[in-house]
Amino acid sequence: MSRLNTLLLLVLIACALSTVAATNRQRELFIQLGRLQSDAHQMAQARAELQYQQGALSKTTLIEHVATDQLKMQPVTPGRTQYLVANVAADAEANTSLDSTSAVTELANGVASAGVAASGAVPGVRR
Amino acid sequence: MKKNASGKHVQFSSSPVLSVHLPMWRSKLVVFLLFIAFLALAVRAFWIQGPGNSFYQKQGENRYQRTIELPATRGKIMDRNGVMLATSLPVRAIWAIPEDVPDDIDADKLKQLGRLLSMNPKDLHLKLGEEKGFVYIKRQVPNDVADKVAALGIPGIYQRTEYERFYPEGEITAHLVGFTNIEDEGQEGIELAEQKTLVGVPGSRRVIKDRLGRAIEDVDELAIPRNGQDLTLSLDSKIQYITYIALKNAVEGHHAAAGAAMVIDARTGEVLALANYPTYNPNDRSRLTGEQLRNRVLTDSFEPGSIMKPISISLALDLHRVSPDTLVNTNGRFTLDGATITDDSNFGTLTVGGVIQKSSNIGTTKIAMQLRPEEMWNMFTSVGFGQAPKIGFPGAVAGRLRPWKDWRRIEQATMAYGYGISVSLFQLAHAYTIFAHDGQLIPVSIFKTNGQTVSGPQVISPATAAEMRAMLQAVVSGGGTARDDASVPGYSVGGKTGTAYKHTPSGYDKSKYRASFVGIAPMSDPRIIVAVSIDSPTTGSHFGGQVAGPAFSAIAGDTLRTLNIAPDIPVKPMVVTASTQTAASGVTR
Repeated sequence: MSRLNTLLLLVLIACALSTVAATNRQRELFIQLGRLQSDAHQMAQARAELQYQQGALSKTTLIEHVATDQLKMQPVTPGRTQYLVANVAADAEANTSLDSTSAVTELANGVASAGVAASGAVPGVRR
Repeated sequence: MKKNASGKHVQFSSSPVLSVHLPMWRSKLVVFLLFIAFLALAVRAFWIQGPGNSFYQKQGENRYQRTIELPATRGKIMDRNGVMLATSLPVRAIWAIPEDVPDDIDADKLKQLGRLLSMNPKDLHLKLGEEKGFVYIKRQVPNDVADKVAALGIPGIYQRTEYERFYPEGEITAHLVGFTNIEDEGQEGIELAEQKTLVGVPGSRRVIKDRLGRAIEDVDELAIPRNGQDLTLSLDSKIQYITYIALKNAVEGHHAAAGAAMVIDARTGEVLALANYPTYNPNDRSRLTGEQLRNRVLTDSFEPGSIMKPISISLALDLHRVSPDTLVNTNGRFTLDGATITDDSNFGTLTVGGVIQKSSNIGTTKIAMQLRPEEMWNMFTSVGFGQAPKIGFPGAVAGRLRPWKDWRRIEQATMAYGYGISVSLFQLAHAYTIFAHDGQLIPVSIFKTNGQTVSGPQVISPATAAEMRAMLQAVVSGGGTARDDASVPGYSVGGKTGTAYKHTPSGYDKSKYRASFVGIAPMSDPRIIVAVSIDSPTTGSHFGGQVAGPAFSAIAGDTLRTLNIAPDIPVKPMVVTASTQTAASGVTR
């Protein structure tokens, strides 16, 4: 009987220690979870801030200012745009619409794009 | 003294002084009292450990449990391509408990605090001298500045994280997006209209904290945090910029009081741009005026003038009261019920198309008088006049359209060419969808849709819409009221000019005009509707074609290119190509 009691006492001590260890582990994990959630929140805020900065830096006003003042670019006009006629068969296969008619725009000081075939005055519009 | 076995008192001392006689009940009483005291302690101990422990439990919990605030952010507002139009970023509020701020605080530190917060030292002293338990020193302070404030280490001054709304596109999208106040509540535009969708609801939870202040166990989630929903508008920030710049140039170029413009996708009904001038910077609202705040596209109603003619005449065409080739004599003056209607010049006999092209008031009146008032009222109502547009935007006006039973003949005539009826620019652009969309009045949205072509109630037949498109195209061609001014190189466009006297409390002011233009492009397959209205141009011409026409041309041309829509009419090429380079080099040799 005393052996059984000893055994049960040992089992009880083992269970108690295991419970303490599990509780401790749970708390450690919980602290880690809290820290990671805090990190996630901070990262979300940093992302929002970066998106804002990206938005501020890619403002159309700013881009136009840089393009015209610093890069000396000129606004595109239809007369200075070459329109490429897309391959009709390939285009039909792709089943695309107007967007397949690529517009090659000349922005920088009217310099011609090499390799662009002049399609004439009437652009290739397929409806 | 003690009793012996025989009950007699025992003599403990031989001294008679010390000889006392204590009764037995006294010792018994002491024993009883001690018993009662122990019993009371036992009962109290039982009470504290058992049924009466809630107070102690609560006190204990207060010492190891904490309520943590779970922040929620306001939803973002984006354009149709995901470009950020409004976002919330964390900033700090600097606050103080004035009585905790020592009186003998270092003056240098206070000076530095004032400098960091851009505050007058006097104001700072006033705030810190207030007899309140809590006072905000300054709100919405950038984090880097707040860190410097914290580094000063002034006792009694604390910080709290809050959010500030930022608008990267600034004044360009101000009227549509709107803004919020310091409490993150929408005050104008989409921020106000969609407050319930955008607002975030902060949550809270109870946790157990250890001695290091770390949360080690979740006790209870008191409120679940909910971030505000992001909104995607139909707006295209590039087209918005194009529209804004063209409008600004038109207003400033003609020294006008104000201007408004918008672009609608003629297939999906999405608003691609909506601009007003003057405008304001929503990031800096320190000097706002009512003029700057007005969203004229939606909240200003005005007499549209000749822009109404296509709507009246399309009804006559649809009811077969006239055909495009019907001749209308517009010679001289036309008198109706004692009132004289005139044109800018004598246009002679015009076809119905000519009436639109030359914008003849007399011709329009003669055509409109073939219609019954009820028919005209139904037409105006069918295209949305007299009703506030259902787009969920605050302050959108209904305009004024009186019941047809009250119309006099002259009123019917003037309404046919845009006087006696008031509409907003938004309503006008919306009404013109019937011409661009084969007679259907399509629903207009300020939020991004699935991009599918929409349909709406059939107001006029597709044939009538096509006839009217041809007439509108003639307005922009040679002989029209907007020839050269509203044309777009490479694209067939059409539209109608409107030049209306401004109505004042004392009647029409014939020195003040509103010049407008509503157009469609390209006419071979309408993709956009552009409406421009310039209020009180003072220099140069005052006609819709010459004032609003060039703005339409700039907006339509750049928008069509931005949308990657190929030209539908010949363009004279100016690009130096490989072949022309070869030819040129041959000549120089």
